[in-house]
Amino acid sequence: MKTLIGLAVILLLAGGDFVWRGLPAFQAAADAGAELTSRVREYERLERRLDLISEPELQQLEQVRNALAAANRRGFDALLDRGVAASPLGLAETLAATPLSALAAGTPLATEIWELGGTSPHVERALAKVIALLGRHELGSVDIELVDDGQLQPVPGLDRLVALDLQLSVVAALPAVLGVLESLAPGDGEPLLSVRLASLQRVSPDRWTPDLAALPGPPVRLFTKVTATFDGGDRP
Amino acid sequence: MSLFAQTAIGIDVWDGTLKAVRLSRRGRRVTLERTWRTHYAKSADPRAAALDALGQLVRGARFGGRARVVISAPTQGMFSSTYLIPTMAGPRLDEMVEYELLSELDALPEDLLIRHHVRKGVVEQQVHAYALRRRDVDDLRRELHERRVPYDDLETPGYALASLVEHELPSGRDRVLLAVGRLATELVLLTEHGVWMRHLPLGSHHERDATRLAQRLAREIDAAATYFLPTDRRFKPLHIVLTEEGALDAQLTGALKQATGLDVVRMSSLQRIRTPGRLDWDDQKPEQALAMGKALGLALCGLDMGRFRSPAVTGNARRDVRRLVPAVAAAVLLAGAGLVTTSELAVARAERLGQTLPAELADDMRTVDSERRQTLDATAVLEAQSAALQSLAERRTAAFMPRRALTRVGKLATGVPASSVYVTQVWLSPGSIGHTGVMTVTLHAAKREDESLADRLLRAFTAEFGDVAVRGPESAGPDSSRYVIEVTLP
Repeated sequence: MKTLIGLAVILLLAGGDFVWRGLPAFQAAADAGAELTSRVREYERLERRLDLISEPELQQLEQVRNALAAANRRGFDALLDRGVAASPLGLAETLAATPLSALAAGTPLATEIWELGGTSPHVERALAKVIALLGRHELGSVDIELVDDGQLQPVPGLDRLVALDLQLSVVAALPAVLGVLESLAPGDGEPLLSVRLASLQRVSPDRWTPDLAALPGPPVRLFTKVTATFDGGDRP
Repeated sequence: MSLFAQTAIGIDVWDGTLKAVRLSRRGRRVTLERTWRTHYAKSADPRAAALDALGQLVRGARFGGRARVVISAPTQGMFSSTYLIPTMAGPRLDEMVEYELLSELDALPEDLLIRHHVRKGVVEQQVHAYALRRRDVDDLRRELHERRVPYDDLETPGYALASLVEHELPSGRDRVLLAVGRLATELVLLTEHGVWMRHLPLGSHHERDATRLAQRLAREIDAAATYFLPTDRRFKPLHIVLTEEGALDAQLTGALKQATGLDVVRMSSLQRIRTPGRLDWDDQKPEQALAMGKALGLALCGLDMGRFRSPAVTGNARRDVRRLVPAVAAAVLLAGAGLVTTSELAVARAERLGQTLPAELADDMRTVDSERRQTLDATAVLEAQSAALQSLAERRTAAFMPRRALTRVGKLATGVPASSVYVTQVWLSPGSIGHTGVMTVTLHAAKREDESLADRLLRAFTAEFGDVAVRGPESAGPDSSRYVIEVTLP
């Protein structure tokens, strides 16, 4: 009798476990199966819609991006040449030190340059650098103008770089003209000077002035548009 | 004892010695496992002593619920016969047997317990029938119940003995079976046409002289053969099979042979029942154990191997149920384990399905795709920046182009008067993102140079700059021609 009671208890417990846990689990399994089917369909839709790649492939893309960013930083540093200090002299000191007679103190050009340099620090730095470069050469005549009043514009394709344009007109012997042109190439610290366009033209002898005639060679006019580029903030 | 073996215990009670054997069966193989023997013949009340001995045996031996216990039925006043009855269905056969017995005995049905055993034939069938006093059987059942003696069947010792002899010494010939106990003897006439049993209240305690006992037994045999057997067939017994205590008396054996003129056979060994070497003889000699013919036959009937099995009382519902307990327990445990396992499997499956392709995976997929797009967008921006930087850097190279062009013209004009070839203008546009730069060199030359100057300019500038086009000569006056050289800058 005890045995039968024990067996009945065992069967009751097992049956109870089956009713309490098993039946709901069967239902849960059926529901889970239906949900799984639904999820599979959703994932298939996602797979068709998305262009999925593997984790290694994503990492590869990120590596390419990071390498490109690093290369751009290096290129940017190289162009702006952070290792080279900006021009040590301000506009006033540069004007005072220039050997160019056209920019001697009191000349109309010097006055005009001085006034232009007061419009903004960027203009002052750009003018100081250009005048310093011009001072290295024997020039017949010089004229400097700002384009768009020296307004800073963003550089296309290079976020956070800003630039202003100047027009430069120089008459000198050919070697000096070529020297001026080549000294306007990018390098030598900030601001980064670069030529946007340049025109070298022989000055016809019938237009030689005494200053031009005194040049060591036939005068050549250099007309160039120069861009002065500055670091506007965060690097690319 | 094997869990898968069938077990039966045969207990012979009423001939002055309580004898019991335990047989086990696996398939057709039968093994003798144990024997018990208790004497009670000298008691003043042999019946009570027999029942007491039975109770002690049961309590001491602990047969267990699985073994089928078969006890010898009380056969005092038993009547048995064999009838040839046409083949017929069960209920009609029962009626026919009852009718035949009641006719012979002139008794009331309620006074008798009638049983029979059928040997089927094609046309007619042998029906071995017997009748016991119902009161004796009921009294025994009550006393067994009072003494808490478990049993499954009450079987006639005569049929049990006949079953043993047919199992061990099959011959198909006429035989006399004689189970001579201390207080009683079972006489069985076994022919190919039937079985007849008779209980003789005569044993070795009643006649101690073997010769006189043998003679009395011989007379009983003749009387039984004359009274019971059909007269149309002559009874020619092959031998007498002697069992129980009589088989242990050599004098009785010899006296029986002399008195009957028949060979007397004793079972000195069991032919078809295995007797392992390490057998618990319960302090008996092996020959004593082998003399338990009735007990062995009763146990054979319990294993359902008795040829003449026809229990007077059969089945014990409670013991039958108890025998089912192991199987039921196993089934219940299996079912319970199955239910629990099914539950666990269902729970596990539900969890597994829920974890398969989890909902978070869709978010992961969208995140990866978003990161891919962002990375590609950032890369595109960086590539544009790189191109802009490259463009800016190339302005450095472009600034030196005019010097290189003028140097080429200079080399070309070596040996030529300066007024013959001279550059009038150099135009430089370094280019920007997406737009190539260009340098234009305009030079004038004396018309006499027109023949070859263009080619020479092209060769010289191509060697220097690569992508070059030369226009000219174009007239620039009466004596000079103009040439325009276009150099595509990288």
